[in-house]
Amino acid sequence: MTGSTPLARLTDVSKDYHRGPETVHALRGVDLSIDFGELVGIVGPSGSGKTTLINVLCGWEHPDRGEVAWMGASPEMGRLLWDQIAVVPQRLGLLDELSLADNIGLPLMLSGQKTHARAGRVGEVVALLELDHLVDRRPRQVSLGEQQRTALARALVMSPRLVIADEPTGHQDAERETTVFDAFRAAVSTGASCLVATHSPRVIEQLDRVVEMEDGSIVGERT
Amino acid sequence: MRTIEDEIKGVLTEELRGVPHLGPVSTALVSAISRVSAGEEQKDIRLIRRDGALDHVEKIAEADDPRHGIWLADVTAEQIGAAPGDRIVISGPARKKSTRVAGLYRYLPLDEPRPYWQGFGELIYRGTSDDTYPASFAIVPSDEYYKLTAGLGDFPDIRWEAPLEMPDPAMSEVVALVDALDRVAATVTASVERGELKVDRYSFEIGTLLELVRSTATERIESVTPVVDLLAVAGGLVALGVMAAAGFYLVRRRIVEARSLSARGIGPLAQGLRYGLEATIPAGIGTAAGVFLGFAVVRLVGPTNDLPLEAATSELPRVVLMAVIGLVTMAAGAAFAVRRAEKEIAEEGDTATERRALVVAMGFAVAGVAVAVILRNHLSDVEDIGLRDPMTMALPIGLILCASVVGAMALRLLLPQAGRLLRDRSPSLYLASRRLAGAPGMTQVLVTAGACALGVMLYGITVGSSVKVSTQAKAKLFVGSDFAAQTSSAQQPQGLSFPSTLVSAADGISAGDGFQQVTLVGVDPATFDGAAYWDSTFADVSLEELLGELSADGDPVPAASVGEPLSGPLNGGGTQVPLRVVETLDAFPGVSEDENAVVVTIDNFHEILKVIGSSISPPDQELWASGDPEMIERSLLENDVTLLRTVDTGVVLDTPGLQSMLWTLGVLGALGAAAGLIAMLGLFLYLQARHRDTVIASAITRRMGFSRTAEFTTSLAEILGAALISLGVATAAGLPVAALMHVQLDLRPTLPPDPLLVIPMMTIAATVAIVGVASAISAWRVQRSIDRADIAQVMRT
Repeated sequence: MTGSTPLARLTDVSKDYHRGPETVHALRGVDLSIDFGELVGIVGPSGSGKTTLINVLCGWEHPDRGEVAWMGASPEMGRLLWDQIAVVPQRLGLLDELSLADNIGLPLMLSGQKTHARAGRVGEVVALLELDHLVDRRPRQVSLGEQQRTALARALVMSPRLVIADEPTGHQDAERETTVFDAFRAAVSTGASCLVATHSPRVIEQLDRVVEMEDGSIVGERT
Repeated sequence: MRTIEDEIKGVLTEELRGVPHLGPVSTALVSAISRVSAGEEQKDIRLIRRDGALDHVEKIAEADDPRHGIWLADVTAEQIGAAPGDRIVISGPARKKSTRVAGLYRYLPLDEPRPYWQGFGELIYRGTSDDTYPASFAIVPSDEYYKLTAGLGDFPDIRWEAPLEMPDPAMSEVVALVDALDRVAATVTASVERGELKVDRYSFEIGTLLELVRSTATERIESVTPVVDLLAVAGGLVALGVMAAAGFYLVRRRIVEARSLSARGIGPLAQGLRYGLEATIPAGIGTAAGVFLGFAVVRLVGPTNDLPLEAATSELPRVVLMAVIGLVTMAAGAAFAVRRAEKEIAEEGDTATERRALVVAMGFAVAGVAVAVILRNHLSDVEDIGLRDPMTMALPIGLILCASVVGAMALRLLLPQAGRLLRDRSPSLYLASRRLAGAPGMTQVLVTAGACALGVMLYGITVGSSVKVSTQAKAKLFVGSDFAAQTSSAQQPQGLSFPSTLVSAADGISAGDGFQQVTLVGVDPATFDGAAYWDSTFADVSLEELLGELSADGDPVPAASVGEPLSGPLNGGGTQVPLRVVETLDAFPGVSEDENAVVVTIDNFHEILKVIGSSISPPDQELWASGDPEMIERSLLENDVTLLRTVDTGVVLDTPGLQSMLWTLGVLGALGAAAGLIAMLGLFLYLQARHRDTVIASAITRRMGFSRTAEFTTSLAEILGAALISLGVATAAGLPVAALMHVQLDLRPTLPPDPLLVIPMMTIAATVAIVGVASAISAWRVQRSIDRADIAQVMRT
């Protein structure tokens, strides 16, 4: 879908939370649009509000003020399923009891697809993220970088409209960082949008748009 | 006589003055058995004179002047047809003497037990090995006793007694008292031997029944001590294992803290010590609760519920020592966990390691089975096994442990196969199966520990129930039913509230060429199957069919043979009675295993005896009854049924060997249940704790469409699955071992029926229900913790 309606839009979104007597303004009147087929990055120091922004978009937090729109409507963001919004959190959330292949195919299994039907798509994303030789292992049997790529493969397997990733290259070397970024590009090329919170200069260079956050506010934006 | 009576009383009173817990010395004169009659019928009695005797009986009736004459037991009076005031004749050792009935008192075996008569129990009540009751007492007033016994030519026994006035004596007190009485006995005996104390023509004997009490108690203690010690050691090891696991678990729960402290230079020993100190108060509470519960369990399932508090308090020093050792073990478990965390040792999980462990465990199992078979082949004297051989009790536990390890591992290896079947059918169950298959070492340990403990519980309960039921069945075969009594009446008593039947038997009948001796048994087809004991292994036909065949008309008379085949017609009175053998039986109630018998209907029995009865002894007639033996005997006596000789299954079941065995198996079952409860609780808590680390994964899967209900189902399936694996392995391990061992513990292996295996279905069902409820509660707690988690806060941290 193209045109003036963005995929997702945050309008004057603010979020506070309280640590005892102290009030932390995690988001202060944030305005942000994500268009279709766009690769957007969010940068900023620790505590700038990147994770809170991601939580609001995922529906894990509700803004105290402002509005979150999804394709022009205002659904309950938390109810949007994996084929709409897929997430790669910083702590990954892989299931220890499943192999990497099963973790990657889990969204398809939970959507009702049989094993043989999902094997093809799982194989594609496995190849894309160069996990072929590791698929039968369990998360704790592989490195953090490989776990990270697994989480990304899981996010991409259902071709969602929006992929949100929090520091997806934090444990990757330079070569693997390129692999990860290529996966994001591949997703964007099929019409998906990606929102990436990152510190990596190499990743920032390749983004379509970079949004700078500081102290809960968007302080800059560049393409 | 009076001089001896008073003199010895004086000496004993003086000697016993320093011995505590004894009442004043009293005297009783007890005659030999005489016979009393009022007409034709004669009965045995024993003349007795004891101060205050008439104050300690229930007087039924008395003559106009009850001061003169003797008091008879009401049963005896009825048997001879005497009433108060009647003249009776007493036939003594040398002469007869006539006297009158002064009154009637209630027959002491039927009266409420009175402390006054306790010292004469062996002269009043039927002993366990006696067929008949002792002769009843004829109570004689003091001034008439000597006249009567002198006239009979009787020299009565003189008994001096000092009653024990010490309720609930402890073993140590009994031992001290016996020693003091032995010293008194030695002193008095020495005086008699030196002639200082003259006893004339009497033989003098002094002793105490306490010695019998002491020896019986000592025998029972010695029979159970080895096994109890073994159980105590096993229980202690289990407790130490739990403490070590608790220490390990505590560190795993606080792994981040442990690693932080390690990074700061606080090593495993220091951290372990800290966890040990933290657990001091809970361990103290647990120890106190354990002492209390152990005391209660022993009172509940032990040989007696009259357990003094000193039995627990005397062991307090050892209890405290065990508690300290437990805390040290816990600290050691914690230290090990810290060390492991430092090294970041990979958890076991690869297949090769499991395969090796499986082989080792199977090796133990095979070895255990081999030893069991060898032991079985060498077990011949059942009285020496079981309690006196701890290995016989230890070996099954070892087998159960091996089987539990093997079973739990095998199931864990099979789970992935089961998971593949579920993958496309139920994501919830598939995830649960994967969690179980990939469970860390602690889960495996808890599942295996639970399996072993519950297996021991099922083993103890199963073997105990099976031995008891089997022994009861064999006893019933020996007796014929629950109760059997020889009676003089040929008529079936009417109005009884329990099934009963009359059985007649004539033994020593010659058969065939004369070399075979058989017992002819006559049964009443109308009442036999309602009262007699029967097992399907006795014959190829049912009892109903058998009785039908025996009741059929025809010549020769139909009969069933028991034991060796009947070699020919019955011989007697110069003639022969041919029989038609319709069934050959492996066993028949009331017929012992080395006896040959022929069974016919009671009518045919009498017809046969008319022909051959002149050459054989008069037949015996027994009344068999089904129900509680004590109630039956009391009811028969109250219905004026004269019992000449009685036998019941309680005699067999009351033997010390069997009772000790049943008690030990009961304690074993209780120990298994307690250990199983601990293991299951640990399993539930551990699985709950593991789920606390899965908040993010839960949030992710919710976004994938995994509903809250599906999430709960997964948790429930995992927890319940682990618990049911434990219980399933326990059943698969415990019951076969029980089936193996209960045969070995058969007290009469040559006596049918074969040992019966009683599987405790109610216990298994109750355990499954408890496990199900506990699993549901655990899963609910897991779900609640997930629901309450602040995913946004978790993402931020």
